[in-house]
Amino acid sequence: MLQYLLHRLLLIIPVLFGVMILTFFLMYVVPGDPVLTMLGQHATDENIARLRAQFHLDEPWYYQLYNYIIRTLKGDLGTSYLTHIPVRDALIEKLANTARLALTAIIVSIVMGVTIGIISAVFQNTWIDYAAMTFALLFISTPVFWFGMVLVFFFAMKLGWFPISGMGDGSIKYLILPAITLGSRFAAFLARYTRSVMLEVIREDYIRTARAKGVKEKFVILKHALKNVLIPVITVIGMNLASLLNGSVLTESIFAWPGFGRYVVSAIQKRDFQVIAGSVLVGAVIFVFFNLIVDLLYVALDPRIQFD
Amino acid sequence: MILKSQQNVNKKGRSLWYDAWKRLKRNKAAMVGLFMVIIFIIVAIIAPLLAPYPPDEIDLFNVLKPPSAEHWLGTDFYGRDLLSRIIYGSRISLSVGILVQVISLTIGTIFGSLAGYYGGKVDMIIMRLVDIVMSFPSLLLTIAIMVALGPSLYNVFLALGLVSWTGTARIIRSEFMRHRELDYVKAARSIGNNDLKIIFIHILPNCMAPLIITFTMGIATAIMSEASLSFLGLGAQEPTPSWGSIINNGLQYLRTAPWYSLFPGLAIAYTVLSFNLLGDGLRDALDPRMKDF
Repeated sequence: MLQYLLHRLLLIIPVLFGVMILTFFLMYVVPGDPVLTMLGQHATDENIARLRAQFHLDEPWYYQLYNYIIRTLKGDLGTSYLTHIPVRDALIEKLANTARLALTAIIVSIVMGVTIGIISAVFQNTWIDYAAMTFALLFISTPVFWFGMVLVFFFAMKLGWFPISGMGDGSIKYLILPAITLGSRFAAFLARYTRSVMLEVIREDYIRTARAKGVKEKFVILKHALKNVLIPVITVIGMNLASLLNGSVLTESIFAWPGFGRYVVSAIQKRDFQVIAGSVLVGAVIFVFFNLIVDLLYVALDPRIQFD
Repeated sequence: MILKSQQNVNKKGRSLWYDAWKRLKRNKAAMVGLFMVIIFIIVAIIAPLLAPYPPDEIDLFNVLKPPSAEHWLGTDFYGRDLLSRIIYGSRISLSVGILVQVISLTIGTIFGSLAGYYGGKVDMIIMRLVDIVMSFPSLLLTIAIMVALGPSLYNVFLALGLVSWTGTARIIRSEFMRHRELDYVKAARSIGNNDLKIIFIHILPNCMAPLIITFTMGIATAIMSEASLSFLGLGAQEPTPSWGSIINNGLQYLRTAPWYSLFPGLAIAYTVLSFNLLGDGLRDALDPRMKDF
C-alpha cells in the first residue's frame, strides 16, 4: 500500500509541473494588459511602466515562468489586481464554503441515489423502475444551472420556503436548494449505477443462500446486498468529481454562494487574471489529489483490486 | 437450391454494422433518441422556415411579454420572439456539437493512435500530456482557455475541442495496443506497408465502433458545456441566440418573466437527452463489453 502511494505521488509531480506551465501560458497569452485593467483611468505611461516592473511583466517570458513556478511552490498565488487581497487567503475562505456545499450535496445525493437505485433494482422492469430510470436520465441531461434556477423560482420565489440566494447567517435553509442543485446529476448517476450493481449482486449465490435459509427479503437487500454498493458509490464519486467541481462553479453563480466557483466567475467578469490563474491551478491540484484519494479508497475497500 | 445457398452467402456476408443496427432497432429507448435527434437536426436545418419571426428582430413595444398567440413562448428584454430565438439556437448547438467533436476526435485519434501504436517513449510523452489536461476540472480549463482566447463562438469550438480530446485518446490508444499484436497487422507489416498506412488504413477502421460511441456521447457533453460557458458569459455573445446565453439574460427577470429562462433550458435538456439516449443505445449495440458502464 505504502509503495503504491509513493509511486502515485511520484507520478503526480511531473503532472503538477505541467499544470503550472499550462496555467502560466494560458494567462501569459491573455490579450490585453492586466496593468491597464488595474490602473483604469490612472493609466499614465509612467504608472504603467512602474506597475509592469513591480509585477515583473517587463521581463522575458522564461524569466516570468521561472518566477511564477518558484513563488507558486512557495505557496504564493499572487495578489488580486483589483482587491489587493492575496489569492491564497481568499481561496482558503472560499474553498471552505464550497466544501460545505459539496459535502452536503454528496450526502444528499448518496442517500437519494442509492435508495432510488436499490428500489429500481428490486422492482426491476416494473413501472417504478422505468419511472426512476427515466427521471435519472432526465436529471443527467438537464443543465445544472437551469435546474437550480427552476428550484429558486418555485421554492424560493413562489412558495417562499427558502431564501433566494447567498449564505446568510450560515443556517441550513440557505444550504438546501444549492445542495440539491449540485447533487442532482450526481444522484442520477448514482441511481443508475447502483441499480446495475444491485441487479448483478442479487443474482449471486450467497444472496440465493440467504434467501434459501429463510432470511426475510428486507434483510437480504439491506444487510447482504447493500454492502456491495459501497464500491459503486466510490466509483461514481471518482467518475464525477470533475462534474461536481464544474457544477459547483455553476451552482454557486446561480445561488450567489460565496465559494470557489463564484470567486472564479466574478474574477472572469472583472478580468482579474491573478485570481483566475490561482483558482484554476488550485482547482487542478485539488482535483488531482481527490482522484488519488478515490483510487486509494478503491483499493482499500475492495480486496479484489490489486495494487498496480 | 441456388436460392438457398445464396441466402447462406448473404447471411455470412452480414456485417458487424448490420448486426449492430439490428440490435439498435430492438432498443426502444435508443430509437426514441434517434427520432429526437433527427427532429433536432431537421429543426436546425429548416430554422428559417419554422421561426415565426427573425431571431434578432427587436420590438420595444413588446418587451418581456408572456406566452401568447403571437409569441408562443413569449418575448425577451428586447421584445425578440423567444420561440424564434430558441429555434435558431438549435443551429448553434448542432454546430457546437459536431465541430467540437470533429476537433476533439481528430486530436484524440492522432495522439491515441501514435501512443498505442508506437508505445515506449512516444506513449509516455503523450500520456503525460493527457494526464496534465485531465488533471484540470474540464470547466475550469475551458474557462482559462476562453479567458485567454476571448469570448466568441469560434473560440468555444476550439476551447472545448482542446479540452475534450483526452477520453478519445485513451480509448483509441487501448484499441491500438490490442490491435498492433494481431496477425493482420503483422501481415500488413510483413508485406512492407509503412507505419502511417498501417495506422490509418489498417487499424483505424477497426476502431470505428468506439469512435462512433464517443462522437455521439461527446455531442451531448459539448452542447451542455457550450450552454454552461454561454451561461457564464464566456461563450456566444449577443445577439447570437445561444440557449445558454438566453438563460443567462433571462435570469435577472426570473421573478417577473420566468418563461424567458425556462424554455431554452427545456431545449437543452431535450437535445442532451436525445443524444444520451442514442449514445447509450449505440454503446449497447456496438460494444457489448462496455455495457452497464
